[in-house]
This record gives sequence, C-alpha cells and structure tokens, in this order.
Amino acid sequence: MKILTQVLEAYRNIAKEAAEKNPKRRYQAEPAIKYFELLQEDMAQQKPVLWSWLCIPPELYRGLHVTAICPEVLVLLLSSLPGRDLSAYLDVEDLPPEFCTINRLVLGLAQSGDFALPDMMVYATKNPCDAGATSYSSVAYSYNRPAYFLDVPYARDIRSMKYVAEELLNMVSFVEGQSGRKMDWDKVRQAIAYSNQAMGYLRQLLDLRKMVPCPLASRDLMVTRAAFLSLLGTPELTDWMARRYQSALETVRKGEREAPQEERVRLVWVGNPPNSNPGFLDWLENEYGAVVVSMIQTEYNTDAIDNCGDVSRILDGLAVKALEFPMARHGRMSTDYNIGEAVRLAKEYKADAAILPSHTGCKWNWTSAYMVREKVQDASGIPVLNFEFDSIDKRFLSPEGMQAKFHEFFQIRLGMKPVGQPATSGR
Amino acid sequence: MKALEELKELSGAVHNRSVEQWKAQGKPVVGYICSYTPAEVFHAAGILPYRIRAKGCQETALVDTVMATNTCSFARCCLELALKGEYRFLDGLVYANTCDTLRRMIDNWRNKVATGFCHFLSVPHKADEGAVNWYVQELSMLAEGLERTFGATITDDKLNQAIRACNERRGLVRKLYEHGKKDNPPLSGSETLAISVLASSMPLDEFARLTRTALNEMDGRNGRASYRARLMTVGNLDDSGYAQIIEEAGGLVVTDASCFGTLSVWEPIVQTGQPWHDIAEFYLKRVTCPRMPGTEGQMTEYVKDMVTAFRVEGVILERVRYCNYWSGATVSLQKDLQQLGIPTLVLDREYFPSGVGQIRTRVQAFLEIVEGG
Repeated sequence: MKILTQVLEAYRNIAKEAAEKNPKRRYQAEPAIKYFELLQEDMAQQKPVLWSWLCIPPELYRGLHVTAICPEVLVLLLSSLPGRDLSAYLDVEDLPPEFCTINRLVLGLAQSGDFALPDMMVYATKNPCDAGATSYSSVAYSYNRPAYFLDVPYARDIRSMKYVAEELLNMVSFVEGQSGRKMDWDKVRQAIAYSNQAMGYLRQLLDLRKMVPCPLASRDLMVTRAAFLSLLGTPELTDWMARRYQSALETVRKGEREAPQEERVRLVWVGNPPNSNPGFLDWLENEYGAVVVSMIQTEYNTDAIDNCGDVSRILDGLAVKALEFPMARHGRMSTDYNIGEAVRLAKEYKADAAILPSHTGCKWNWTSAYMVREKVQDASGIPVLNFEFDSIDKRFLSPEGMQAKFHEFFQIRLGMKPVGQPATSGR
Repeated sequence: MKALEELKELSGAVHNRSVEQWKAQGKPVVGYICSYTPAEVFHAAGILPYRIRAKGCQETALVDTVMATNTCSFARCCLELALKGEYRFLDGLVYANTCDTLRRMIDNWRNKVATGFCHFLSVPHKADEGAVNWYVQELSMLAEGLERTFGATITDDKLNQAIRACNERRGLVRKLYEHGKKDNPPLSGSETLAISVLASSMPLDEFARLTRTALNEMDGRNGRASYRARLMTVGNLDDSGYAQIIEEAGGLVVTDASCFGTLSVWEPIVQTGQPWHDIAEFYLKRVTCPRMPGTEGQMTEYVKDMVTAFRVEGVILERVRYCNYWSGATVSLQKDLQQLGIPTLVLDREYFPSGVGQIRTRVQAFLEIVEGG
C-alpha cells in the first residue's frame, strides 16, 4: 500500500507546516491523517481489505472485520496534495480520455501496483453514476475480486428505502462470508451514535454559514466534506466536528470572520469542488471577496438514525442515508430535482450567484447542465456560471484558466472588479 | 426480393409508412428509449411501442443549444430529431434509468417537447429475486399508467399473447441473422441490423408477414462473394452508416452484439404461465448492455459463441464517444478476446458518420492484420 503511506506522510507534513506558519489551519489536515492512521491500524490487525464505494453507509463496516478503504476518498485526498504529478496514473491504458478522471485514477493506481488490490469489493450501481459502476465492475472482473453490487433505485421513496435496506443486509452477508467473521451490530449502533452527533454539528455549522456575512471560510466546506467522506461513524469525526463547531461559534461570538476579506458576494457551489485546486476558494475570497457559502456536496441528510431499535430499523435508517447521499441523489435522480436543490440552496443561503461547475467526465451533469443553468437563473433570479473543468486533472483546465473564467463572470455578469480596484458592489 | 426491399425502405427513416397506417386507425404509439423496456406490455395494451433512435440525423444544430457537445451523440441525435418534430407522431414516452445520458436527455426532451403520456421505469441493475420482484412492480405501474391513459386493459392472457408474438418476431430476426453463417450471405450486416431495428418500431403482424416473405425470397440466393474477412461488430447501436464503411473497406459484417441487434433477439422469453414474472426475469437476466454490473463474463461468452457460430475472423468493438458503459466494458472484453486469440479493433466513434476517413484507414489496417493471420 505504497500510496497510502505516501499520502499519509504528505498530510503529516502539511499539518506540521500549518502548525508553524498558520496554526488556525492545522485542523484542516487532521481528518486525512486520522483516516490513514485508522486504515493502518485495521491493516495491522490483518483485517481483509475491502474497497467500498463512497455512498455506502460506512457505519456498517465498523461492525465488520474489514479494512474498509474508499478509493474515491484516496483519490480526492491525493489530488488535493500540492505539487503531485498524477499523469502517470491518470493516463490509464485502454480507457478513452473523456472517461471520468476520478475513476480513471482509481484504475490507474490499481494497474500501477502502488495501490494494492482489495480482498473484496462493494459498490453501488448508479449512485451516482455509470462511470463508477462500470469501472468497479471492470476491476472486479479483470482481477477476479469477489464483489457485491448494491443496487440503488432511482427514487428515494419508502419502497426504494426498503429495497436498499434489503440490499444492505445482503451486502453484510456477503462481507461476513468473505471475511469469515460475523457482524457486530453493537459496534454499528455505536458508529451510528457517532454519526448522529457529527451530523448534528454539521447542521449547526451549515446554519452558521447562512449568516450575512458568512463567518466561515469557503475552504472549510471542502475540508468538512473530506472529513465526512473519510471518518463518518468514528469518534474521531465527532471529536473533530465538536472542536470545529466550538471554534466557529467562538468566531461568531467575537464578531470575527474566518474568511480574510470583506464579503462582497455570496456563492453557492452546485457541483464538484475543485479537488485538485483547493486554494482556488481562497483565491475567490482574496481576489473578489467572494465567499462560497454552500456546497451541494455537504448537503447531507442530517436527520438522526434510530440506533436503538432492531436490525431492520437500523438498516432502514442507513438505507435512507444511502439514497440521500449528496451527489448520489443529485446524479441518480431527475434534473428537476437538481434544479429544486440549487434554487433551495440559493434561497436558504442568500446567495448572489450560483456556480455550476461541470466536471468533464460527469455525464449526468453535462447532459442537463444547460437546462439547470437556465432554470436556476429563472427561478432564483441570480446569475449562474456554468463552466467545464476537471475536478482531478489540472491539465484539463489550469488554475489560471479557471481564474480567467471567474474574472469574466464577476466583471461582466456581476459588474465587479477585484478587491482593491475601483469597483461596483456585487450586491 | 420485393418484401426485403420493402423492409429496407421502411427501415430508412424514423417515420415509416406502417406507423402512419397504425395511427390512421386511431391507435396510439408510445416511444421508449432502451432495450430494457419490455415491448410486450405495450402490445398487450394494443399500443405500438416505438424504440427511439436517430436514423438519418446528420447535424445537431438544435440540440447543441440544449445539451453539451461532450455527451453521447446518440442521445443528442435522438433529441435533435425530437426538437425538429420528427417524433411528433408519438402519443407518449417511457424512459428508464438505463444510462445517465439517455435518462437526462429525456429530461431535456420533456422540457422542450410536449410528450403526452410520460412514464419512468426504475429498472434494477441486477437480476436476483429481489430485483425481479421490484421490476414486476414497476411493470405493473407502467401497465396501470397505460391503461388509465389509453383506456386499455392488460390481462394475463393478452400479455401471454404479446409474449408469443414478440418471441415470433425475435425468431424471425434471428433467422435473418442466421444467413450470416453462410459463405456468401444474401444480406449484409448493415442490412440485417437495419431490419432488426425496424422490428422494434412497426406493428408485429406486418413485420412478421414481410419478414417471412423476405426469408422465402432469400432462400438459395447468395450475396457478396468477395471480401477480405468475416467481422463482428460489438457495442454499436443501430447502424448509422458505420457497418457500410466497414463493408466498403472490404470487411463482411456477419453478425453483431448490439442492443438493437442480436442481443435483443437471440433468445425467446420462456413462458411459465406467470407473464409478468417471465418478462421481468427475461429482461433482467439476458445481457444487452454493460449497464448490468458483473456481467462481463456473460458478454465475453456471448461474443465468443457468436465468433464460433459465424466463423468470425475479427471483432470490432465500437464505442460511441462519451459512453461510459461501453468504455468500461470494452477494457475487459478486448483483453478476453485477445486471450482467446481473436483479433480485435477498438473503434471510438460518434453516432452520426464522422471522421469517416480515419475510420476507414483503421479498418483497413485491421483487415490487413486479420488477413495476415
């Protein structure tokens, strides 16, 4: 697991550097470090390695005898590291260049041998996309790995919830069969208790972001998202979120802001974040006083799951979470649903503009992007920027190219100038 | 070869004469978008199911303002024709969660074009008992929608009859394909596929009558005698000119693995007296598209069997650009076929004829490899 060790080391260095130069930002690297450390602990206990798709409730794995790795989380954390050249992994043999780079990177890592293949795989069909399903299926087949495909229906009604709950139960049986160890449901109950607490903090943090001006920095959303993807169901996440919430509350009480500039324009980010260029959100704040107040990727269903009832009740609750997972529900369901979500976010977070970034490999997004742009503009009355970029591969659109698109949007659509230049207000 | 000529003529455009005649009798036509939608349910309701495709689409002027160009051109061309009004004859639309692009393309269609009856089918991605039961419920909801909207009544008897009629249609198309096993098949691969596509968009009885006659007409006849290699195409949709390019380069397409072609017709529905269950199980268990994960081995077996049966010398794996499913599936399929010693060519292409010169060159190079043994 060469790559896991390398990424862990890189995040430790980031944390060390932050501790010296910007202690306030030290917390940002903590979830990634903890994630890889927990994986190392599981591997040290000889737990079989399982690759799991990101929208499958991780709480279940806490009760199973496995080292559950989400390759997409690895990919997101890897691509966020500054100065790493991923082209050797991305230019994977056989796949066309337009195939989603998130999945291409997973395949490339597997083919390179730097990321060892798992003992078993669990992934979801179309939750959110075809590229994920087909690439995992291809890995399972090509490398002869036992796999469970969790089928997720289109809608998110009671019938769908019951279907997914049954699928989750079958998945548990599959993992038990592969690992040779029975599920410990008490550990799952405990993991859900941690998740419920973390979700409670998330809800409160997101509510703080609705304040005008927003007291919290844009990049915090990306860090929070990464923390939830990697640590959900652990005490480490609950502890981290508690500290984050207390820190944010303190900032508000003091009447301060974590974003460095005056807030001139509020943005909702309705699509993939710039994983390979996380500093871009800082640039938006510094250059235009533009604060990303909401991201669709952190719009979790934060309702608590009943963890006191019988197993079927637990599975029902986790099935709802699987169906409601951010991005999964947006990719799986109708365009109208996405439009409604974008309009809701714009209203709730009092946004001045919506950013609709379309990751180049994201087919569901691209097929309906123009319709979403048009309808969100009409329904919310705010300008929408739709642009093509790659969430992972900076070669597709460089940071400078991305900045140029925003310069144009702010200056032409919003009549703004960069901070420090004579400007008309964004509001 | 009158009947064959008539079939070929009918297959030449989206709007065909037999659909017009059906409509003239006051009977409804409902479009559907994917091979996982069972035509049997529509036939049992006295409705003509019409599988949407984009025959004849040469440009994308209208759709380019609605859908980004970095998406599947089959989906874009279908919408282009809808925006042009070519699908005005439809009384309704049934779509499904088959692939991301087609599903969202229909969202655009519904936004821009009046569709009348519209129904979404949530098709499972696996074929175990739970999935089959789910699909039975979905089909039941579709039937209710059709009955309510079109005043039809779908009984088990009618459904069993529809299964028999659709099985007959499958059998007839298969017989056309079987001619490809001959040394000099009387039909080219592109012609056979065109008729197979037509089968999904015209009344069953008329199709059966014409095809039976055409099969009689073909008896004892030989087709093209001179060609460089016997080829199979895999992954393509309906033919939009590419099989012809391959044939012009000297290849003889003798069969295919296409959701519009053999994959949809090779096997009949087994009737057990429980028609809803029979249909659901059939559509989920046969493999017509890599949308069903974990079916790579089945697809390889299917292609391998066809290669043997049709004495195929080379396989062309066609990927319509931006199709995630076939992009992923081709990776393993190509490796499997290479291990079996079957020459393969992966051809990335658009739906409409584009980059024809490059494709011809690649096919010619492939034919040289195949000829070289």
